Amino acid sequence: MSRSVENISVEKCKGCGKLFMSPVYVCSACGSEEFEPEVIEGEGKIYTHTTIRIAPEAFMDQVPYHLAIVELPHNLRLTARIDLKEGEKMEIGRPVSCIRKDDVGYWFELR
Amino acid sequence: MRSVSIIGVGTTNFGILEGMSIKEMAALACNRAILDAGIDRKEIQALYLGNYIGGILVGQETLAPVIACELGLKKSVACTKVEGACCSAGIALRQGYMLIASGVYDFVLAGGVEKMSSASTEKNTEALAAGMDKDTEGYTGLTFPGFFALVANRHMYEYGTTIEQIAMVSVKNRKNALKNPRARFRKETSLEEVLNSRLITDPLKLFDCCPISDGAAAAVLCPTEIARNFTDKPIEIIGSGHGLGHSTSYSMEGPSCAATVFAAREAFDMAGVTPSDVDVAEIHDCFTIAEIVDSEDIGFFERGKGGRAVEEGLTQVDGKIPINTSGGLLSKGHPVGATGLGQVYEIVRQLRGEHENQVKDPEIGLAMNLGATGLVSTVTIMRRI
Ligand SMILES: [Zn+2]
Repeated sequence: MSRSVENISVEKCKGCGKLFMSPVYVCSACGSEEFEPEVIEGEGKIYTHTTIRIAPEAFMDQVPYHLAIVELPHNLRLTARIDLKEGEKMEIGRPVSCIRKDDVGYWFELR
Repeated sequence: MRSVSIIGVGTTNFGILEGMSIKEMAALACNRAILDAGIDRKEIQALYLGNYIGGILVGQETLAPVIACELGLKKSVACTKVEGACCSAGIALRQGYMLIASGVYDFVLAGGVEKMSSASTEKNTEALAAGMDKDTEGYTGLTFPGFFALVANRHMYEYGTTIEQIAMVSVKNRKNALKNPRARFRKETSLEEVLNSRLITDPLKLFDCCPISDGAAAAVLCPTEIARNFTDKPIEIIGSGHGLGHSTSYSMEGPSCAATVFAAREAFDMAGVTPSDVDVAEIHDCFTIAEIVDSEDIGFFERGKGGRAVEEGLTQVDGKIPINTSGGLLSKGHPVGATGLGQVYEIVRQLRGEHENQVKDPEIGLAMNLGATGLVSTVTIMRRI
């Protein structure tokens, strides 16, 4: 079964070409304030993970929820939600694919 | 640069201080530091007061001048509130240190305070999350316990640190707190109790987390050359470092807090001593894993060996480097804006030889205070003179 993978929006510095997760206002490498939108493939792997069971008030109705730092192409990383299915477990190194984006950021599922 | 010494310290107990306002706690801790120093309060030229979430939780801002009025400081005193998340008091102390070292002032009062117990756990978690980078990560629902859980899982993966070694930090610190009247928790715990406690953010459990607490602590500083006019036991600040980490957890360079690495390097270089010269340390154990990571970031142990060091007893009161003899944040509690000076209070008492859980004849002590997602850190190295 083929699954659709969401791309991830990033920003590319017009000064030096460095890629950043969005939003970015100043290029920490060259000082430029000019960026252009770019997309990267939403395929990565879990760098580390946790499941939040005590949350800030605004997120309390969502617990427990799963978070991971995901390693993406081009040496980028982001903090994202993992949509775990019944019986699935997060593991470091596990490949993940981006499936959607909403108010809490990008969501990935185990591949 | 002039040498600077601590000539007086003061504190409240840490814990649930029902009925005590943020103003009362800060005023009492500061007043006790002034009385301990035996200084005429009209001599104090500046007050730096650490506080993190007083505005959000109890609606009190402009704290430093409010406290200065209560203390009866002179009208030319410069009052500044200092905020750097849970590192606020460490930074407040460093501001005072630098202004005396540079010759601007001769007498500075540094304090820190937080009132947390009047708000719910959810409200506290929300207020603490104000220290997350809202634009890039705050909206994901990551919390500070969550950040340290991310660090814990990576530390176990990279170095084979075990969940038992992590839990042993809690067992050790709870035992250390038995003798400390300032601690919120003064009851021993067992490895089984820690491991079987309720999951908060996997793999960290309730007993891996410091308790929400109220409290305040303060210190009076002056040039070392006149410190003996006030006390027989001045404690010299021989090294002071303040480092920057990352505002997003996804930028972490391994299971480590870069801010502490830089702060420690700066402080050790200034002091001309090495981690192995330190006789007693209070380091930022907001979570069990944090104490292990801190101990590696400071350089007490090689990278990845912090967990084993706890298991081997190297960080116990009679160990190679006694860590958190006060019981640490895990037992004392973590009134976030006060913690950095609470640590300094404990180290000063150790170096004076008057601590309830006294290490044998310590000469050099270290306090390390961390804020946010490892974003900001201070390291203060002190010596008995
Ligand atoms: Zn650039």
